[in-house]
Amino acid sequence: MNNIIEVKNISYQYPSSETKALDNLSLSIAKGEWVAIIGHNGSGKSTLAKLLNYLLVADEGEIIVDGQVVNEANMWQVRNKIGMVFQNPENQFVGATVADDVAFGLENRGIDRAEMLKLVPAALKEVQMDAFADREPTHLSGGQKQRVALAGIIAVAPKIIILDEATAMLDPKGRQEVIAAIRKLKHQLGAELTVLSITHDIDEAADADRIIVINDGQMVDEGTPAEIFSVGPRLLELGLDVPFAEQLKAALRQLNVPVPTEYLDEERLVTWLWQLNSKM
Amino acid sequence: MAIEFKNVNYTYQVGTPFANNALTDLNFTIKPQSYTALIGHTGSGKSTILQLLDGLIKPTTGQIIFDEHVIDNKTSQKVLAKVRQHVGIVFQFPESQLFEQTVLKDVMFGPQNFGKTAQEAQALAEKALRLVNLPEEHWQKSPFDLSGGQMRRVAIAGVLAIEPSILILDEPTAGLDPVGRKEMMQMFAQLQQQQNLTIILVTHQMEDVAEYADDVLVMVGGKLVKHATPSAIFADIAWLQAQQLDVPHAVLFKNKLQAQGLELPTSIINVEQLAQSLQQYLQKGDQG
Amino acid sequence: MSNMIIGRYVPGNSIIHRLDPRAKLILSVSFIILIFLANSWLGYLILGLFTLLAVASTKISLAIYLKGLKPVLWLIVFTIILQLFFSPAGHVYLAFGPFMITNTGIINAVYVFLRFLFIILMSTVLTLTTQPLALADALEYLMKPLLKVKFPVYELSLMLAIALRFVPTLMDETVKVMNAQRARGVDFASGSIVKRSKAIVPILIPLFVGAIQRAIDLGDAMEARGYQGGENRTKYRVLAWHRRDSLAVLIFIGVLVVLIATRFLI
Repeated sequence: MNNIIEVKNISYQYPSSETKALDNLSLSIAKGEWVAIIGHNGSGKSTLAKLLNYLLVADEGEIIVDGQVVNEANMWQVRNKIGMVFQNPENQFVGATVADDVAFGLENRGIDRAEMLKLVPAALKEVQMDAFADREPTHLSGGQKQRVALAGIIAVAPKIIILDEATAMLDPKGRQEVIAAIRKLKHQLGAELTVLSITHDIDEAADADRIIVINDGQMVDEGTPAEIFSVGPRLLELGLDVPFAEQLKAALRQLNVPVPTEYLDEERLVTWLWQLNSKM
Repeated sequence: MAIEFKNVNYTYQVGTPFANNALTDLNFTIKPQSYTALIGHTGSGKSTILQLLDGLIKPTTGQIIFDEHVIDNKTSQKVLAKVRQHVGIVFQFPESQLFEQTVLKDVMFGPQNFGKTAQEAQALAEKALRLVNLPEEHWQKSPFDLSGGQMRRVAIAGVLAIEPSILILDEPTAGLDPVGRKEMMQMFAQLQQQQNLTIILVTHQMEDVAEYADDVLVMVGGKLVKHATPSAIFADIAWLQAQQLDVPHAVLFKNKLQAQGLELPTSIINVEQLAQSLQQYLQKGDQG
Repeated sequence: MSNMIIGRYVPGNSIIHRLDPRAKLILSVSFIILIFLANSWLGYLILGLFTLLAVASTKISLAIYLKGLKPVLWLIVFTIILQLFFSPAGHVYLAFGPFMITNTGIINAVYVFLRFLFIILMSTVLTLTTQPLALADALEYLMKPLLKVKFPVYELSLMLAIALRFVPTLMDETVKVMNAQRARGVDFASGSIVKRSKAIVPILIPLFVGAIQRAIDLGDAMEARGYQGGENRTKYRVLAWHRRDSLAVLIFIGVLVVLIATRFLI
């Protein structure tokens, strides 16, 4: 299997902290895969994101991104391969206007202006922000700013996109818009794009091919969304909302209604309840 | 404490070319010890209402009545300060208001501003820190050394320490993880019961509205377009969608079941109610 | 805040708005130097006409310009008084003790007043018609020769641009923190000066903490997006010099020539 990210026995401890944020963590992500990393606040998942593009330097272990060891010598090449959307929409908006911000990554890579004049509007169109090209960030909502951040990444066409709780500070509408934009992008690029989304959002996690659960700096579980969701209310401890069908099952179980133990999505739970009803 | 809005208008930058009508002719009453959800999109006037409720701004015209205090455009700062003592407001990301050297001192800040002695303030602060379940081992630490969730609890304690009878919450769970969100919302529900608080919750989370609120105000473009119970609000799905407001999961799920021929009451809006109705329904089916 | 006119951009589409910021910056600075060349009524008349022409071409109401004068009014009055009473040369009209009003004194006072007026009006023309960011761009361009002496021109101008970009963010943040502390009983409006200055602490500390966090986040985001310093970067935003900019420079040179001529004529 062709792994685009390999994390081998990584440990990291913040200078001001007494415990390790990541403790001997190993995982790998295949090229073209969409992986959600979940875990409660402080579980170490955002630390992992920063280690991947050398914003933090691991105390121990090795990370390989697209065949390159992540170290000081390779860091700019590695950063070229990874686009990252951070949590706070305001604090990652560098440009004075939307178009300027999208161009920032291109400017850093020394792309010709003529080329930028094509790439910037195209990237903005991709996230449906083309009408806002000359707007200043003050006049944008959080969801719009995150879409601009995504456009800035689309413009430089990286192989990997990391969403570091990119929807955590948005209202439901903004969240849906950002998730829809990512879904569309992944759909277009297919195996050419690997998505790593660090999230608490059940809708965002449900889109993934695989979910990795991190707790206390270690990987504690992994599986398909259906497998992970089947733990029901315990998902809350893992740092994820509980899908509604699982919430209802748990509530029914408390009222001594016998419910199936395997994971059911909403449609199947409706069917199950309907059959139960017609049997009676 | 009851709150009544009477023909309240609010205009930003009155008398300038930039004048901007933020609230138009608001009339409503919030009952004492109720749990009211204030919903609407960004720019609908919610944050202006919050500032009016805390006497941070005065209505351009109209009156806001807090029991014996009446606030209008002419009200003095002195009277506003009195009202402010009864109203606690937890702003969005309230941890950004922390500044003292220790957690305890920060929580004492409010009571001391309102004229309490250091001793009284400390007693109030300790009580408030217990209410938000912040372990005593953290009280002498710098608030900036705590985790995000703990910092938020300190900030909330700082508001509770002034012993408000009205507690306003502006997106209090924003940025927390799911466990943190759930614990926070349960804490407020508990506080309301124990402290006889009137709670006003500003939120985008319709699940929370369905779970905790008993009254809902819906704002659109500076106007109050609906004031009703959560079940009445969530019964009209077409209307909610037209307003681009989320429909609680339980309502959607109930509708799917109804489409399959299960007869369930329309008042169901949250998962507990749905489970109970289903249990009764299935039992009835059993007997019949 | 409302009477801080200097530094407040008023959107518009006048000829002055459309001038290249480099042209505007060079001309404003040169004009200020030029003012000190004038030494006669005629000279001041010419400068005055040029200033009025510039002000009128912005199509921004005169009231906004006059507001801009307010904050520096006391400085002007003080300097005029100084000139008026302490010019010992010339014909004495009035004298009491060390103070005397002379004809040179009166003339100097009028000249000083006019200089102030012209300088303030011209710099207001610049700031009212030019977006701060465009000014930063112009500054970067004009500082480029300093690159030869290893002066970090690009870094400085990016710093300036980012600072400008975050002004509204920090203003919002200030209002938010102030509201939060007022809700906790802080009274910014009354009390002694000591009490009021103490009330600043609960505002400043959260603002600093917030700004530092923003700076850290921004640094991460910039690095993640490949920012490695000023060299080898291309620019998306470019300045374009048009014919109208050359024309503006020509008009200015015309004024300069006439002004120098007046020195010889009178």
